[in-house]
Amino acid sequence: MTSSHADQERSREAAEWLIRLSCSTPSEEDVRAWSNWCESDPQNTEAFETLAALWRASKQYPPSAQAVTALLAPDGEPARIDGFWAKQRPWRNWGNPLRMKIAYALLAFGVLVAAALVLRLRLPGWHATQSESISSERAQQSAVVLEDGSRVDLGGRSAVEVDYTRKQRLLTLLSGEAYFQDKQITSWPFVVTAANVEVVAIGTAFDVEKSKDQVAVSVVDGTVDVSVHGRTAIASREAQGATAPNEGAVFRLKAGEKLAVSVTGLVHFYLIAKESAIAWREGRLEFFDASLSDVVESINRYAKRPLVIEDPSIASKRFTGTVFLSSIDEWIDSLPTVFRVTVDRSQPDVIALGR
Amino acid sequence: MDPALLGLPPCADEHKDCPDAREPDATDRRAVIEQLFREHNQLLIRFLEARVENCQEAKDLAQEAYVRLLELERPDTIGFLRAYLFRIAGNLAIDRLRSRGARHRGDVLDFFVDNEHSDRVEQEVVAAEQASRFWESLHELPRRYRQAVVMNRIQDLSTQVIAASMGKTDRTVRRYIADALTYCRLRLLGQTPEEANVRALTND
Repeated sequence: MTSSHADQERSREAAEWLIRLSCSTPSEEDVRAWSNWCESDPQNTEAFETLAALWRASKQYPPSAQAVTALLAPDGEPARIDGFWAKQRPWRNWGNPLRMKIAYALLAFGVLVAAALVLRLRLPGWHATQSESISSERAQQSAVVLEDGSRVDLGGRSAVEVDYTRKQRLLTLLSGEAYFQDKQITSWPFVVTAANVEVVAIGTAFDVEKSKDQVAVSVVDGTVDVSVHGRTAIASREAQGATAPNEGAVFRLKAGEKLAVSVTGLVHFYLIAKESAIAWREGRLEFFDASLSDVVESINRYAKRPLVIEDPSIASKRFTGTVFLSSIDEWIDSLPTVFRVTVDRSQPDVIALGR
Repeated sequence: MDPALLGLPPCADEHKDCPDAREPDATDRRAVIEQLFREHNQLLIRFLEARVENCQEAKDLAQEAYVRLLELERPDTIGFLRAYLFRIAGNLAIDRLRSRGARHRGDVLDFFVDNEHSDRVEQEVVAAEQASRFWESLHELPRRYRQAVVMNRIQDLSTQVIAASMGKTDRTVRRYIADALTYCRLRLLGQTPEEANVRALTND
C-alpha cells in the first residue's frame, strides 16, 4: 500500500493539529483554524480521526516494560533484544571487538591507577577491607573519602554504611541522600544498595536518594546499572502497572538520566540536567515531577521545623521547581499559591499542611 | 465591528452579562442550538476526544457544553454561539483533566455504555494491533523522538515537563511528538522507513 504526497502531507497536518489540541491548551484562534481545516475537506477530517484513534490506542495499549526500556535506550544500543537488559552487567557486556579494545584499555588504565593508589596509600592490597558507618545531622552536609579514594557526600540527616570486602565495595544508603564518586576503574565493583534497589558502578559519579516512598538514582558521570528486586513495572500514572510487570529488572543509566523506583515497584524514568541531581551540595533542592510527600521529606532533612502533611489527599500533588535551603520559610509561604494547600504554623514543633 | 461577526464573545466571564447583550428569545435560541448540534456535533466531539482522550467522556462533555450553552443569556447568532460552544467545551475538558488525578479511567464504564455495539470487540482488536505497530515503528526513530513519546504516552508527563527534562523548549518537544506520530502513521500506511523519514521528520 502506498499513499500519495497529498495524503502524506495530510497525515503531517493532522498530526500537528492533534498535538496542538491535545498537548497544550489551544487558543480560540487555534480551534477556529483547526475546524476550518477539518471542514475544508472531508479527507482532512478522516485523516484527523484516524490519527486521533491511533494516538488514543497508543495510550490504551502501551508496550511491555521491556519494550519501554528498549525505547528509552540510547541510539545505537541493541534496542530490541528481550531480556538483554535483565541479564547484562557492564563488565560482561564487551561482545564486540571495539568494546573489547576499550575494555582492555580501561582495564590497563585501571591497573595503573590501582597500582598508583596502592603505592601512595601503602595499603596491604588494593582489595582492602573497610567497614564503617557515616552519617550527618539535620541541615548538615558532610563528605568522606574512603580508603580507595572514592568519595561519599552526605546530604542532611543521611546515613551510609560502608562495607568493603575482598569481593566488592558495598555501600548501603540507610536514609537520606548521598552523592557517590568512584574514581577507580577496576574490576572491584562499586555497589550501592538502598531498599530494593542496587546500583552497580565502575568509575562513575551518581546520586542516590531514599525516601519512604521511593528510591531515586541520578547519574552525573559515566554509566551505572540499576537492578530492582521484586516486581517492577514501567510507571504510567493513569493506570498503574499498565505495562507488563517484570520480575526483577536491570536498567542502564547514563549521565543525565534518573530512575525513580517506588516501593510498589513502579519505575519512572527522567532526563535531568546533570547538575540538578547534586544541586543540594550548593544549597538548592531541585525537584522534578516530585510528589509533595517526597518534597516534604527532602526538605525536612534541612528545615528547622518539620513539615507534616495532615491531609493525605494533598500528598500526591506534583512539584517541579527549586527550593533554596537558605530560604525554606519563603518557599513554605508560597505553598498556598503554588499547591493550593493551607499552611498552619500554630503548633510549636511542626508546620502542618492541609487543604 | 460587531464582535459576533468576529465569532468572538465580547466578555471573558461567561456568567456576566455584556452590556450590549440582547434578551434572546428562548425558542429561537433552542432552534439555533439545535442547528449547531446538527452541524457541529461531530467536530465538537472530535475536539473533545483530542483533549480528554476518552470517547465516552468526550460525548458526556459535549452534552454538558450544550446544556450550558442553553443556560447562557447571550446574543444568539450562530457564529457567536459556535465560538462559545467550543470555549465552554474547552473549559470543561480542562476541568475534567484537572480532576482526573485520583479517579480511575472510565474503562469499565466505557464497556457498559458501549456494549450495545456488537463490533466493539473487533474495534478493540484493531486498536490493539495499530498500537502495537505504532510502538514497533517508533523503535526506528532516534532517541529524542522515542523519549518524548514514551514520556508523554506512558509516563503521562506534559510536554512542558518533558521539555524541562530534556533541556528543550515545549515547542520542540511538541514537534518531536508530532514528527514521531507522522512517521509511525506513514509506516502504518506501508511506507518504508526511508520514505517515512523524509516526509515526517522536520529539521532540527
